[in-house]
Amino acid sequence: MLTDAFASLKENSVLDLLKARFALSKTGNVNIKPYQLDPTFQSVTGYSSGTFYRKSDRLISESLLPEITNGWEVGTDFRLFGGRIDGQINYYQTATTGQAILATVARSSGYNQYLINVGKVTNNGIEANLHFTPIRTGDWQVTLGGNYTYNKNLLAEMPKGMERVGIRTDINPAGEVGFTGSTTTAEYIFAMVGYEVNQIVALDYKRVPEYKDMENKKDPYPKDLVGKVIVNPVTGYPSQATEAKPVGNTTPRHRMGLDLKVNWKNFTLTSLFEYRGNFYACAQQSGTNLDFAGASARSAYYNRDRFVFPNSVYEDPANPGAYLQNTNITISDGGAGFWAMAAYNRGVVANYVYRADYWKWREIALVYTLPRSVVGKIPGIAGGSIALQGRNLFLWTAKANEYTDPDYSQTRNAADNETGVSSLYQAPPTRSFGATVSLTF
Amino acid sequence: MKKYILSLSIALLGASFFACNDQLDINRNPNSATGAVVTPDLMLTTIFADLAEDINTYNKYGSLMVGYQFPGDGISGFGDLYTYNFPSSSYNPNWNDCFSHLRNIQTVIDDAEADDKYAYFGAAARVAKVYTFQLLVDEYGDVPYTEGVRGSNNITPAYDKDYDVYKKMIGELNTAIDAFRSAGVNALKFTSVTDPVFAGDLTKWIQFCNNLKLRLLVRAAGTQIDDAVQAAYASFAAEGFLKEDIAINPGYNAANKQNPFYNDYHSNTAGSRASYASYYLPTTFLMTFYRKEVISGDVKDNVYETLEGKLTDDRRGALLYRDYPATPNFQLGNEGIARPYTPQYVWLESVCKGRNQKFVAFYAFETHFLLAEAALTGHELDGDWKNHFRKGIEASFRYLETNVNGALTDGANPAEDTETYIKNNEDSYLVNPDKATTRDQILEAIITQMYIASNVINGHEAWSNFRRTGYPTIDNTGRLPNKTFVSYLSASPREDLLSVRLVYPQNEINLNDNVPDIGSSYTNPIFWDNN
Repeated sequence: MLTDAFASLKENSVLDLLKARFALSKTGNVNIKPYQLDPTFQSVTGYSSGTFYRKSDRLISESLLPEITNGWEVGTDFRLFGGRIDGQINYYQTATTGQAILATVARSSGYNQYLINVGKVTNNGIEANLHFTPIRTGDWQVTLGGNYTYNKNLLAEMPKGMERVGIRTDINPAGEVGFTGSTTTAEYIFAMVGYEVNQIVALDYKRVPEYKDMENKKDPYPKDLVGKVIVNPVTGYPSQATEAKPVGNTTPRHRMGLDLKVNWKNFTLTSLFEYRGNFYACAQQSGTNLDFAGASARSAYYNRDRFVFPNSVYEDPANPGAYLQNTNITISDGGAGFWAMAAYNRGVVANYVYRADYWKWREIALVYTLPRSVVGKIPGIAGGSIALQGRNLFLWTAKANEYTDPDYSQTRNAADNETGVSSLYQAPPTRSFGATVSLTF
Repeated sequence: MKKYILSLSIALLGASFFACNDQLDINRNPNSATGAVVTPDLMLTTIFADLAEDINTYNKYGSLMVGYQFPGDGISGFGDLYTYNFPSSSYNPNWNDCFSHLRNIQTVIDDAEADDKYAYFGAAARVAKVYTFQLLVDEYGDVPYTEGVRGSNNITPAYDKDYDVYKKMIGELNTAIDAFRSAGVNALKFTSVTDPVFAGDLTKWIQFCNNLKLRLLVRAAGTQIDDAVQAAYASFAAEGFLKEDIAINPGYNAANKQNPFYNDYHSNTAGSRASYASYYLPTTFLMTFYRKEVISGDVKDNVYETLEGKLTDDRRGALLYRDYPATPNFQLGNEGIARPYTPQYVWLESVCKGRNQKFVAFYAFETHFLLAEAALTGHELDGDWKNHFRKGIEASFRYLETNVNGALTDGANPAEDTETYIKNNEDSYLVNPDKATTRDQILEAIITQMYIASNVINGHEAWSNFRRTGYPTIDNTGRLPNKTFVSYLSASPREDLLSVRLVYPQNEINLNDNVPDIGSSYTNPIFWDNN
């Protein structure tokens, strides 16, 4: 408490309170359920010759360690002008090792899942909030403010020999009794060294690379062609890239809240806006199904007529290896022959990955506190209030988001690591209104 | 007395502590079996039951590729099949299920290597391994044979070249034959429960190895590994070949677990009609092998025309199809006229014999046709090609005329039916062995008869044979339904308008850097592909 330590700081009309904080921490955690250390065998019943066994598809690391988080933070609290302005700002850095996850591994290993310590995850960020009280007179008090957090996490290290693992935990958890999740869905959420945890890794179209010779970074392509989709010069169809690439993180880097509080006599009005920014979401399941049925907005962009694939190029027949801007080669079939096809549209998962940034009017509430003069007359009642509130009132999303509120995902619980992946089988977002009468006895 | 009470209570106290320790052990799993109790004899039956599932998976895919079946009217989807442009999301179970099942196979092989008590089980697991990998190689080319299925020792296995895998599979079969022959006296014997294929007949196991090796050699002859193939022709085990339908039966029954083919082509154990029995149809091209005048389209809906066919085979046509010869049939991807509705359960008892029918992993007709082709290429392993050609046709009749209990149906006579068939088509070198004179004609006859015999039950082998030899002959001019089985909507840039392979699943590409870049389903054929 700097204002207490140095009395001179307090001897002015501006500063009421100034606090500086510094903390070091080390926390341990075990996030593995009991009986997880031995690979299991499942019994196979129903054949008339008896009961047999099959090995579970879950690998278990022989050197699992407990999860340890080391961190430090530094921050300050302040209050100015007799409490009219107060705020707080913090910076933190943490590093977690030994976090156990159930990673998805290549099927050719013979297995599907691998219970393993993921390596080292670092987090750093800022947490700040600031509130003003411009009006504080008699019956009126108005407070305006906001909070902001920035978080950037990074998968710094992975066990030797691993660079990329799937981390959605609700796929094929063989051996788990009572499992209800999907057993066929492909994996879209990955952990990759050098990237934020929870990366969407998805297949894109074949595009013009930066260089003809990518390995030695030689022979660059013209800048206006780089990144454009390569289409077939005869059919006009694009094709899929072979390798899926990281296309975005599902954890918002920026979060901001704006709040307002107005008091007038016994009435209190509060309102909250929220912003989340710089993150992505994937609507692969809804998107592909809607496209297949022709029910999506995007499938009608071109009236289901033949169209020139936007921002596309084709290989110059006279000069192989060079590309020409495509202005006139249309897709052979702009209806089901394109939108319903996995090879041209539905299999290209990047088509369904979108910027998930949003502003949301999260809440408004009006509370009337019953005055003592009223409450006092009723025997046995000590206090009471009447409140009206609305939640999830409005949502402003990025133009690319044709699907749903990015807050809603198919995840059964946060530990499934699939925040940001939506499906057709989730509850849609709802606006809610309510009224509350409360009495204190 | 007090002393006794004291020591008794100390003993009880001690005992209760031990009990507590046991109760609170969070590492010993009380709910599931672990490696300590599951031995190979408890796994082999599952391995072969799973192999039957995988063969069934490949048969369904292969049968779509060669025109044994196609989705009838009112069925959406199948866009990748219509164009043969298979992306990395198509037919993923063909890859995933096989590798999932190889996990059990490798576990048994490893257990047998650690303890020779399980030598026979290890050898049988190697047979299953070769079978499964051949399914994979013939569709995907390069696969991780050496480094794959090693669990945590290698989660990103390197890929072996397809032709190297063929060589390694030949070696694997030799290892299996050695073990069947010379396992020690301590080796645990098979029983009818633990051996779901031959109930412990070791000679038949060795013959099965010979059959599998023959399939590998015939397919790889004339490729870059021809030297190894020609050398391996001299290495067949003296037990010879098994010229009967080799079938898996883990104890299929009507109540719980039934034959997977029956499940997909007829109905599930609850009696609900399978999707294939609801809307799949044979192609017009296929029907040309049964009738000289094919009624193409749908007689009931009065949308049909009569087209020229190739052969006469009403016996097998009637054995196979409901409403034959008026069974609705048309062309994959052709929406020019309304695709016909399917009569429900279009396939009859000749292939959908019953819920507890055994699952055939290697048909007798295939053994005969392989022996015929080997003889044609200078390896008379068991008599001349003509003999096996006739026997192959006869074995096809025999399979279709056999009931669920393995007995011939009333009045059936495969040998007589074969004679009638040859007589009815005596002018055609595809049927009458005396008419086939050139080497190409003989090969075409053998592969075409294999195509006819494999109808709907062995589709993946017919598909491999087509890619290897180009038979049965198709003519894509005008894409007429009676001239080709190729999809009307094919987008393939190839001359034959077909694909040559499947694309590795996206998860495999994402999670393993070693997956080779194969372009698309139109490029990078398997090493034995001559088309």
